[in-house]
Amino acid sequence: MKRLLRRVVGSILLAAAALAALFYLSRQGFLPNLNPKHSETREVAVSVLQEVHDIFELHTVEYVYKSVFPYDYTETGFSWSVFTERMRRKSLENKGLTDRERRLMAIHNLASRAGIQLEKEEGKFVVITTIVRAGYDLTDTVFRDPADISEDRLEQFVRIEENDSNRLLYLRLPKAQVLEVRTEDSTSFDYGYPDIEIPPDVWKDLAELASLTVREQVEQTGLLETAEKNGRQFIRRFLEDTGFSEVRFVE
Amino acid sequence: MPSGKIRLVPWGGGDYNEKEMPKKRTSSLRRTAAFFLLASTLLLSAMLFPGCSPKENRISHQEVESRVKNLLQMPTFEHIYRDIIYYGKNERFWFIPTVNKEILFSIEVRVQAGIDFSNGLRIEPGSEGELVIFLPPPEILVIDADESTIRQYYIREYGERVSRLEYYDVIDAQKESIRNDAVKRGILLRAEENAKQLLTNLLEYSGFQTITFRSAQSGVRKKEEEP
Repeated sequence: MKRLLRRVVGSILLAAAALAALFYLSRQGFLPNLNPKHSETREVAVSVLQEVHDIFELHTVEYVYKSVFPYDYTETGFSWSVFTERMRRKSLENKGLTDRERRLMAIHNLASRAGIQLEKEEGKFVVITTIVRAGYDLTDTVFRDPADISEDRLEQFVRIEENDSNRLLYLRLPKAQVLEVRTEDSTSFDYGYPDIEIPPDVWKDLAELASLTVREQVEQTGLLETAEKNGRQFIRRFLEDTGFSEVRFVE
Repeated sequence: MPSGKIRLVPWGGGDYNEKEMPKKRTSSLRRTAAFFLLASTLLLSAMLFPGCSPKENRISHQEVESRVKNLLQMPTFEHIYRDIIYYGKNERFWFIPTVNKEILFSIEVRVQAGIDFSNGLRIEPGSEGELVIFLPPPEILVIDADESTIRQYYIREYGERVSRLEYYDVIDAQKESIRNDAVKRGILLRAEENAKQLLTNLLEYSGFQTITFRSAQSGVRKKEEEP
């Protein structure tokens, strides 16, 4: 009986020693983390990033951007007669053109090809429809495979603080960006403006001009900010629904 | 000690041989020791790894409904239009023009679509952890023209001015055409898909394995989640 008792005590001591050794090794990084609270927090952090990934995959804003050629390509109050007169003088004096003047000359030439005489200010115009899709490109980001990233990297994007009954989540989100720009072909059926005849090659150049400048215009109109604001609202509501008392976004 | 005997060293020290400790009893003691070793390891493991034990993650029906409604309060897809509005009016008396007015301006219009949960949303438990959500059809929730974004390109007024009333009338008429355009571009479809995906994510996260969507109006709907 005494021997049996010794064996039992010995077994318990051995098991405790084995676990202590496992703890020590895990703390030293030789084994997966055995701190239950820590590993649970990591698990939650990873699943937060996965959910954010899924929501961002869905979340896009589409911008149907109609621009008016030539008005949207110059500042308000711009006078083409004054500009062409200045260009004529410069040409006589053999002076070079600035980048802005070159761009305006290209617009002027394009307008002439479309049959619009800018100096006459006759009110002819062309409306070009461009579709801009803004959202999040999560390729090659931590949101893609959060389970595989290191502890330090994970903490740069998601951090969970728990005190009393509060569960606070700090989250760093990516920046929204323009994902796609395409110009739509209008037909006289869906073109609700006074029609002007434009040759196909001129239409193609107009569409190209529109898609080149739309990115700048998108920045001015704050589409990306809208996409980000909406994305954050979704994420906040979703995560607060799943049990976080507060979600804070860090820059 | 006679030669050829196997010498065993017990945990507690001391010596004995096969003769002193019959084989049957030795294996019984080993089994007991192994049992205690295993039991104590399991006990300590359970204390140290509470996360490994299966946990009941299911939430109450009221809580599910509240979470679903809370999420659906937000529009699930959005289009922003920068639209160009042209308005022209020409009147003649015989061949003499009496009125010739034209205006061209741009304006930003926001179109948001989603699910109006007050329109018949129901959540019912299905079999074996399944959750059946009767989802109302998606609809355009907001069409908002932001007048602060108006940029006027030109205005021509001969014989009559463009009145403020005409201005608002053309904007209102344009809203209707934007609504139709947004529907044509698939805003409702995207809003419904997004709502379903968001709800699926939310409920799976809350512990449900199968979520089935049905139309709140017309029986079984297409999307059923894989278990």
